[in-house]
Amino acid sequence: MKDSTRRRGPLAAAVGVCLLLGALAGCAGETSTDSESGGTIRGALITDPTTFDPALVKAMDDYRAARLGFDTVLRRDDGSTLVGDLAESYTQNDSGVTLQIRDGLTCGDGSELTPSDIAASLQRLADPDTASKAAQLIFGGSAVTVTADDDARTVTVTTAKPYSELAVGLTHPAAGIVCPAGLEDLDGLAAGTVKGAFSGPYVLSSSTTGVGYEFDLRSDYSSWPEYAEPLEGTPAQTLKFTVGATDSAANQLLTGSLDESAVAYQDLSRFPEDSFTKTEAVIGDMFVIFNETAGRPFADAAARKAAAQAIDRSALIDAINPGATPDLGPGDPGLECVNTDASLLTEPDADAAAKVLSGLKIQVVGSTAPAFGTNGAATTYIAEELRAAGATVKLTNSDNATWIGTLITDDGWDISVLATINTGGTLVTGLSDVVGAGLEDGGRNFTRSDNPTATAAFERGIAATTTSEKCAGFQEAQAAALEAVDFIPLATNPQTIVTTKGVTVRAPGGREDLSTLRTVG
Amino acid sequence: MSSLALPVEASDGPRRRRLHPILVTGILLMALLTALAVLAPPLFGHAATTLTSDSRLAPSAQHLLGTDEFGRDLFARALVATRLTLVLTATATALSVVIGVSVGTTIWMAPERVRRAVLGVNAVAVAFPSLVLALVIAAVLGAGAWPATLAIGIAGCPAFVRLSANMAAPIVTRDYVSTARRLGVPGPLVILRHVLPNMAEPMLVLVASCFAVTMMELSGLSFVGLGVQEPDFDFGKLLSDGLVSIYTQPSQVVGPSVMLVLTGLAAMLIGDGLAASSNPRTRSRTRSSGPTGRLRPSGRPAVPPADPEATVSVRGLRVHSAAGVELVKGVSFDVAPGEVLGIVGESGSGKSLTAMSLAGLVPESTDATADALWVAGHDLLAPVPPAALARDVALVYQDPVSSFNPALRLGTQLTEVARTHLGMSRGAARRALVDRLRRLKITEPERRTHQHPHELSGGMLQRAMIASSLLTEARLLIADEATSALDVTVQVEVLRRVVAVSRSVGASVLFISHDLGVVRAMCDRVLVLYRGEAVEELSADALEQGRVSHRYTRRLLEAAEYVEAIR
Amino acid sequence: MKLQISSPWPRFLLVKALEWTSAVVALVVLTFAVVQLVPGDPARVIAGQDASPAVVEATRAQLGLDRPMLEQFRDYVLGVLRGDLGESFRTGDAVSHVIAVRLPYTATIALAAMALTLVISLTLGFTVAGLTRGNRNRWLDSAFSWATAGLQALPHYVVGTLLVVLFAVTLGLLPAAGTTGPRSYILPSVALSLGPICAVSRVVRREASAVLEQDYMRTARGWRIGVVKQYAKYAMPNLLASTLTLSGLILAGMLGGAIIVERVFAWPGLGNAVIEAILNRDYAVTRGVILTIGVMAVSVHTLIDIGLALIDSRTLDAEGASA
Repeated sequence: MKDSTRRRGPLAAAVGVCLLLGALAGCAGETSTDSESGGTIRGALITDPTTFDPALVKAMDDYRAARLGFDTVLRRDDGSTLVGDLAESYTQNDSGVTLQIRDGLTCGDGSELTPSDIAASLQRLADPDTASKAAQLIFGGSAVTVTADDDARTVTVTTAKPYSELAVGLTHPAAGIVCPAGLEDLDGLAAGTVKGAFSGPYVLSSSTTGVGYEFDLRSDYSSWPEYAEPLEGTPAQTLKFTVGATDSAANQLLTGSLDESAVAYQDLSRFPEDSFTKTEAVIGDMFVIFNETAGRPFADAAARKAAAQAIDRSALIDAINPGATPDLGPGDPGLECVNTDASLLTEPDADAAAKVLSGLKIQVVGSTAPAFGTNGAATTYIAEELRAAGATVKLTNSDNATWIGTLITDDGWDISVLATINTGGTLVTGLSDVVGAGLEDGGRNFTRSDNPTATAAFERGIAATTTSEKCAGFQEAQAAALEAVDFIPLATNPQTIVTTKGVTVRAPGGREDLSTLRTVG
Repeated sequence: MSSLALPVEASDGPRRRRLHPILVTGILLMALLTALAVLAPPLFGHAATTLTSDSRLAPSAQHLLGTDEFGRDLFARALVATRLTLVLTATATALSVVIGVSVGTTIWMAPERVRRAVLGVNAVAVAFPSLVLALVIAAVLGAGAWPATLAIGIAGCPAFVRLSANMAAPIVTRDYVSTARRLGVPGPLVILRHVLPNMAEPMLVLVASCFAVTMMELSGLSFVGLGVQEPDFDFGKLLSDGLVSIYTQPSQVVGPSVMLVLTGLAAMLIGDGLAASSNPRTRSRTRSSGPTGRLRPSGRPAVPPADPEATVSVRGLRVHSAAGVELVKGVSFDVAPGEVLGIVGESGSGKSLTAMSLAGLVPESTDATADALWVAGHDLLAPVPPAALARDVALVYQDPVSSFNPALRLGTQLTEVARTHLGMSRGAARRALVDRLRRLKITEPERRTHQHPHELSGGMLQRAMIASSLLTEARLLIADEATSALDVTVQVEVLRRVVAVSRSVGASVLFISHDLGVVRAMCDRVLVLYRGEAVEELSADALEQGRVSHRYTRRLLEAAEYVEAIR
Repeated sequence: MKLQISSPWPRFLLVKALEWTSAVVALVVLTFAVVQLVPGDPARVIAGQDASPAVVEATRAQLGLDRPMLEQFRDYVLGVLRGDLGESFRTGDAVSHVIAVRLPYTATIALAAMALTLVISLTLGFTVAGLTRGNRNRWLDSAFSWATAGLQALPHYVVGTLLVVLFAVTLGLLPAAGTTGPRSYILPSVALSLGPICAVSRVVRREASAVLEQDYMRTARGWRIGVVKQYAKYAMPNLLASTLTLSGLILAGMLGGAIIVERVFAWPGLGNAVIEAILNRDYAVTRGVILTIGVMAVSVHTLIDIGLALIDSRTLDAEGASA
């Protein structure tokens, strides 16, 4: 062919397509992503809430939604103190708690919220048929009677056995009060479609599973919690949450398509202090647990001690999350009654560890959920340390579901790292994972430890009527469990919430609470 | 096509199987990676797996890519991961290939009913996204290196079942295979001896690209958390571990990304290279350079046409191959209006090159020069409007079946020139075409225009092609071996048409053939080409009476007479 | 197509319909069976790690997992027949609703990516095939091989991440993730199509090279029509069948790739849904999504077979006789 110039046609077309794409990208880029005007805060959820029924909360995002839509009678504030929410004051004694309910409470549909309604909601939470997994933590596990006196505006919660953590328990998001409209339509309550069910500042206004959720501020709501240090700024008219943005949240915050989100520690350094605010909160705590079932290597206390000697706690914590605060017990340092005696912890001693561990066959199991560091860093580290100490190690990291499936059996694992979701901020949450009745006996103790001293002290603490009595019991239980090396305290599971300029959030008692989101300035 | 390609191939000398440069690059790269897979673990294993307190370090001289959260050297980890990556990828690929090819070939030994059932099920499996399949399998088997490998391997099987079944299909129907089966050779043995060796080459190409895809899918499973788990690590695991820190410690992803791309590249280049090596079009390296397909003045003073009325006037036409071999060595002749000129010669004599140069279609990989080249009143040595040339010069090629586009209807193809260059409307062109088809005694001309080429016989196609030249009232019809592919009886019919057409519109005909017998039956004059030179020019009378002087012409004549005698 | 008495079409379509039906039946059975094999107890996962055994049992009863397997299977099959895929174990939403919400997100980026892939790879493949015809421009030949092979070796998630780093984080031109408007579709579609573009343009280039060497292309050149017309009208139709076949495979690949890409872009599509559902042991959603993807794949496959028969009746005869 003679004319070679004409053969350039298709190439030119290809270039054209690319230019077109570039132009698309370019022109599209001109309308930049500015934050929406007028009191909307855009946040991120990890995934869809499983339910909007506070009694049935299961996962992180359920707790978040419950806090927005449902007020509790009491709220935690910083420094382990309790403040009023629906109740303005309370008294606690042997048999339970009496709450003085505020005046002028309303529900999402504008109807009045009476002390009887509150009692009905709490009674339903305690009902075993409700199958609330938080009920035991809130009420202590014995029979519960809730009565109300509408004239005196009081609600009395009575437990068959004394429970020292009852008042604290009532601050748990699961203890959020559901208005009568919600109790009449439980399916609607779970789906979040019953406006009249909400007792909190926000009602769910729209939801698209897998995509996003919107909450609107109730105009007639006024019963904000009475924090010692009042919240500044104004609550947003609308809260818009997108779902599934965990991995991309940092990018979306930086590019301005989100105003608020928890951010993974790896990304924190990307946020300059002058244009973003970082608020520290705690999700729960991490600790090493052993399987003490008879016949397993760690049924032997000496082996557990050796493992504790083999593990360099600070390096392990650093591998999981350099921003985590080291713990001395099964709860974070801010919790009431948590162990404060560092000498109870086992000192690292690699040589001593090797003598005992050498030749031992150990199955390490772990979860690859982000809480445990990148792709199961926590158990990876433990496996490497035990291997270095001469043990024959089999490491199995798997997704959360498979891992939990292994832990609830008493074989197939020897050592793991547990992370609690301690949204209620109680020591019992973590403590009951390592002392007391085992899973097979209706308890929550994953270690299946046989530690009568710890168990007795734990039960004393539960049944105590004064704080000092309670703490004496819990601290003795922790000391006994640490002495026997039933668990190794690690660190908090921290959560850093990043907000853009003009948006603030608080973490009362160290726990994330999205109802404290405010726009300022 | 073959007549055009022949001279070029001859200049290449004997075909030798050379390794394509891309293949060599790919093999070298893969060899390097394999060496790394063998050597890296003993050399760098310690740095790659030992926990130290130097966690999350930035790149430095001591740690070229920094360290991870356990203080392990990332450079060492990237190198050491080569072994597991190659082993897992090779295993998964082997799984897919072995299972896939076994099933894909064995079903040809099975009863037809079974084969159909298997292929039917497999067709659905192929359509199902393999990564979703792998995801489910990996979820069932649990996360880990071997479950992931198994998952990807199994998910890759359906594609290989289908490919190998398709490849085996033409092989199992070959005579020697069916003979072997009739002789009672067991099925597996037939597959092993006859089927597999015959599909080895294209299969290798597929295996190479499958290797790259497999590696990527394995790393995809790592990314969603179902792939390789600690303490094992492959590129995918390193990459998905590093990706969470891409903004704060970007060096984490550099190592595994580079290694992943290098490995993928090695596999693909091997595949590309294998494909190129087995393809005769791209195998030779000598044709690589030089401008080709051009027609230029020779630089000698142009000779004016002896007869200004002549349809064709050629002086000193020379054609070179890209390698510099002279294939046509200065041919000169004229064709008068309405004259039928035959050009005869054996394969490689340069007759087709001459004809194509006249049409302004100097083949790729050759260059033509001429002192003068006038065709239908156009000076081909100067720019000529394509429309004029398309209209005035019509071509009829050797193989009617391959000259027509199998995907388009005849009407579309045959009216192309009339519509594009004469500006005829679709309807008018079609009506005109039907008329010309009828004149060429083609049955059911209306229906023919709506048919595809495979629905017509070769003779009918050639006549149709001639009809299209009638449509444009071409002044020169070049028939390049136009009847060689046809049956003898059909040949005569087509030849009669060609002559009749030229007479009816006063067009000249350039008739190219290796068969002097065919040529002398219809040509006014014959030009004999031998090794690129015009050795003799004969009138029809001289030919009829056997008055030829060159011994080559005599040989051609004897051959023609012999053939006629035995017909 | 006219249906004549001797037409192979009725038989062909019947065979295709039978194939489709049996494939869907197989999918229904397999999706039920396979989720049961995934280790981990859904009731425990849904209830949470700190739930007491009583709560776990209550959850199990509520999910209907305490019933005999056959009964569960019967309900599943009856549900599928009614178009009811059950309710999500996690959220209680109807699975059909979950799919209806999420499918459009995946379909949009998959189809956009597919369009990008076809347009760019056909153009690119043909251009390179044309420019390297007869072993000319060997540098381009090599450059094309290297570039496409290298880019193709980059996993989807790396491509996606790099696109985010460049266009969202560094240049701030496009959203980094999520579905905030039409612009947010660009990066996921591009990330999804880059690999296939490389793969397909290599195939197109190979096939086009072969087509351009054909005699009928010489015929077309002899007619002196423009190069674009030569390629578009005379070469392209000969790639139609293989392009169509390829398209089915690309679409299947797109659905697979979407799983990865959706994760990078926090895209609320089926891919993210199925991963989440598997991790949460949400049997209902897992089955529903896999069944949907499977039925889509099978349908596309069937449609392509019919399309191939429409293009080339020879396929029809062969298929009708043998399939």
